[in-house]
Amino acid sequence: MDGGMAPPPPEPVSYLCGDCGADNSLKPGDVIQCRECGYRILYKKRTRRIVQYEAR
Amino acid sequence: MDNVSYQRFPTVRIREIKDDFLKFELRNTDASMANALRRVVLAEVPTIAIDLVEIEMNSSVLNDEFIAHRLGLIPLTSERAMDMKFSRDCDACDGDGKCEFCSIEFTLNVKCTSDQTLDVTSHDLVPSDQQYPVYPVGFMERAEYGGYEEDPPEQRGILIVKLRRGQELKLRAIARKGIGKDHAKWSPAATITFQYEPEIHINEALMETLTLEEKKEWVDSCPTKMFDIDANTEQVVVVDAEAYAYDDEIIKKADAMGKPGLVNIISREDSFIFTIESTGALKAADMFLNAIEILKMKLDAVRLSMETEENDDQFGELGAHMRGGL
Repeated sequence: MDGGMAPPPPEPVSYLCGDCGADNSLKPGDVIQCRECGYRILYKKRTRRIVQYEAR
Repeated sequence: MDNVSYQRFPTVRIREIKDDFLKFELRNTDASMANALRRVVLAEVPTIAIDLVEIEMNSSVLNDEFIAHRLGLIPLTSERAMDMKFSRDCDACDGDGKCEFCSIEFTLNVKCTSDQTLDVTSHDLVPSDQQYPVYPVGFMERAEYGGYEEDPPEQRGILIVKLRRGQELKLRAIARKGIGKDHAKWSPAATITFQYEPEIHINEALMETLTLEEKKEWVDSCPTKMFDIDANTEQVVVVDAEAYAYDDEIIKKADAMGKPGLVNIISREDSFIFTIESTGALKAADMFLNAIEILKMKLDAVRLSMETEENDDQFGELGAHMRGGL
């Protein structure tokens, strides 16, 4: 059933520039480079989900 | 065997009692009882501590696991612990922290908006239950919360993490009842000590053969100040027998001076001097009373299993101990 359907378009992921701190939305295949300052190190953001830990 | 009674009637005399400190004498019992009490206070008196942390946002310099661990170590007021259920024994809930019998929920939501470093402390942990709240230790004593540096040190709360401008910490923590045997964070005790009561007998006749100089030398050879010299009579007197650390220094000194037997120190093996220090989770006196309660429950468990047929042989002799030879 699902086999014939095209996979949903990949959602852009937001990254932070390591130099100027600007938000960058990237899709798979995009060049890894800040749109504002051209810096090539980008950081992934923390998950929006709640994470659970044992306090031990 | 059948008519021998091992029953004794221990007594307690309290010397000093404060919320977080207790010093008392325990008499007419033996080291096994004293040590059992010490071990139960340390490892089996229940308290409440944070056990589960759900972190929603953390942009601080410390990672989630690190903060969760630090939260676990914060002592919480645990008067309720004896009446609470262990979360594993609780039938009324599914462990989501909303259960009134086994869990206490806290929230923490702090964001630094100023240029100054913001200190997140135990005062920022807010209990959700306002009817029978459990607080971090020191929560009630704090003055108007004016920031970490402004308050006197004892009212500052327990530092969890420091935030710079723009950093944020938002989480939900679930505290549960537990015992020190499972994790040291549940131990109510900071330190517990007991010592035998020393009895010091000075051989007065032999002591009189010493010159004042020699007496002074001997008195000063003790690492703890046990003895002094009476200014009027020039006699050596015991000022603090309990300062003796069972180090034998004073006896070695007497031997070295050629006066063996100058002093005879015996420890009374049926009397103990206990000190109990609390983390603040429980009052020191309550720690000891709860320990007795728990020790009784443990003995009851043995007594019950003794009454089964198959255990008669196994517990035959122990039975005489337990029933006091009845």
